[in-house]
Amino acid sequence: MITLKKAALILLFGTQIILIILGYFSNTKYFCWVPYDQISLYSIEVSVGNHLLSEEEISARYRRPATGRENRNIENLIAIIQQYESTYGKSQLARVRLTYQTNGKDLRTWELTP
Amino acid sequence: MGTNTLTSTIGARVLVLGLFGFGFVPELLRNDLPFLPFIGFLDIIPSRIFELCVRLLLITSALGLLFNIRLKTSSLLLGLTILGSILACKPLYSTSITLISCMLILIGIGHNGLLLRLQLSIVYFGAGLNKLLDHDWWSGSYFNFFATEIFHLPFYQSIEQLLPGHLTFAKILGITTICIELALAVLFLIRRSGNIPMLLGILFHGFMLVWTRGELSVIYFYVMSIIYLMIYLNENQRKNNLENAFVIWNYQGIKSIRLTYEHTVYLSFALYIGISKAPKIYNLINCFTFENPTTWFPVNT
Repeated sequence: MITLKKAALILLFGTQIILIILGYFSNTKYFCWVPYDQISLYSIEVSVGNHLLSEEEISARYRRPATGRENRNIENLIAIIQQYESTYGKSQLARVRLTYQTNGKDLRTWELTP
Repeated sequence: MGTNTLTSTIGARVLVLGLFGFGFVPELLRNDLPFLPFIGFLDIIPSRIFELCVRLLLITSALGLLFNIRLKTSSLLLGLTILGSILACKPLYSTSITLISCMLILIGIGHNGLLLRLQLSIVYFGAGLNKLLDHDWWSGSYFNFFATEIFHLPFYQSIEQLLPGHLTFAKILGITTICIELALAVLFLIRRSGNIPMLLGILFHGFMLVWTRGELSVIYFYVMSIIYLMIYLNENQRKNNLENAFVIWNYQGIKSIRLTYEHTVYLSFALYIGISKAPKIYNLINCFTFENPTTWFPVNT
């Protein structure tokens, strides 16, 4: 018989295993136990209209430093920017440019335009 | 007090100290929530109500744990509150904090050595599998970048130059990491493996921490050490009261309950690293254990 305790344990462990499997098919790597799976050095530039946001403004916008190091998948950072710009910042029509270097490979750029 | 309750008490309290000492709780209280939640509907909840609920739950459950009031309920509540806060704020996500919340939930549900081993096995399986499927870990790109551009690891370049081929040492390090993590995932499932996975784990995390001069994920090492300790306490039923359990951090205590030399080394080392990197934890543990922390390490013996 499945008791409440057993059900809770199945839920706790089962969810983790499902999220690990889903993580393989997803670009973002949340909740799948992958710290330091890749390292990226990055820089974010944001402009709203003609105003180029300062590092402090970018940091306040995404709660992430404007320039820094991402110890998890860079897609996690992209997901944060995308979510912000499609929700809270939607009306501002911001242009975002993320420049990053992952695992020492060539510099890459990801852009978001309104 | 039974062993299970004892390990719950120790584990939950030290995890809570970690949450405060490593700055997660202050960060949580500083931020407006919800903010970019993982689950969309959380955004509907007014910020003021959400924050009030989080603060109330956080304070009451943390106090409950520290003063041993409804230990399991407090632990479950705290774990769910932390997890709920992370779900309500994507930028707050951290693997080690998520692991702490899972551990608190597990303590709340009711754990034993086997369940703790299962939790660790899942964690190492996730970490190992992801690396196994990532080309950069096999090609040496990841470790070369890690060692030269990020952490500037001592001796790395010298060893790399000694070996033939391109990024040979980086490849060895990457493949070794994958093997160790997957081996830990398997070993933790085998109860007869005894303390071997714990020793392998502490050597693995400890080695990386020392090599990066304490820069690489101190909190992860701290959390893992606590879980290893909980497994050890669960599977070694020598201790029968809270006082004895707390002196596990004390050299005299370690001698008296006949822990092995390896455990002495890794527990002292784990706590030393944790304390040296987080003075707040030092102060908090000092408050709640009522011990003189200077006696914890066999410095002059």
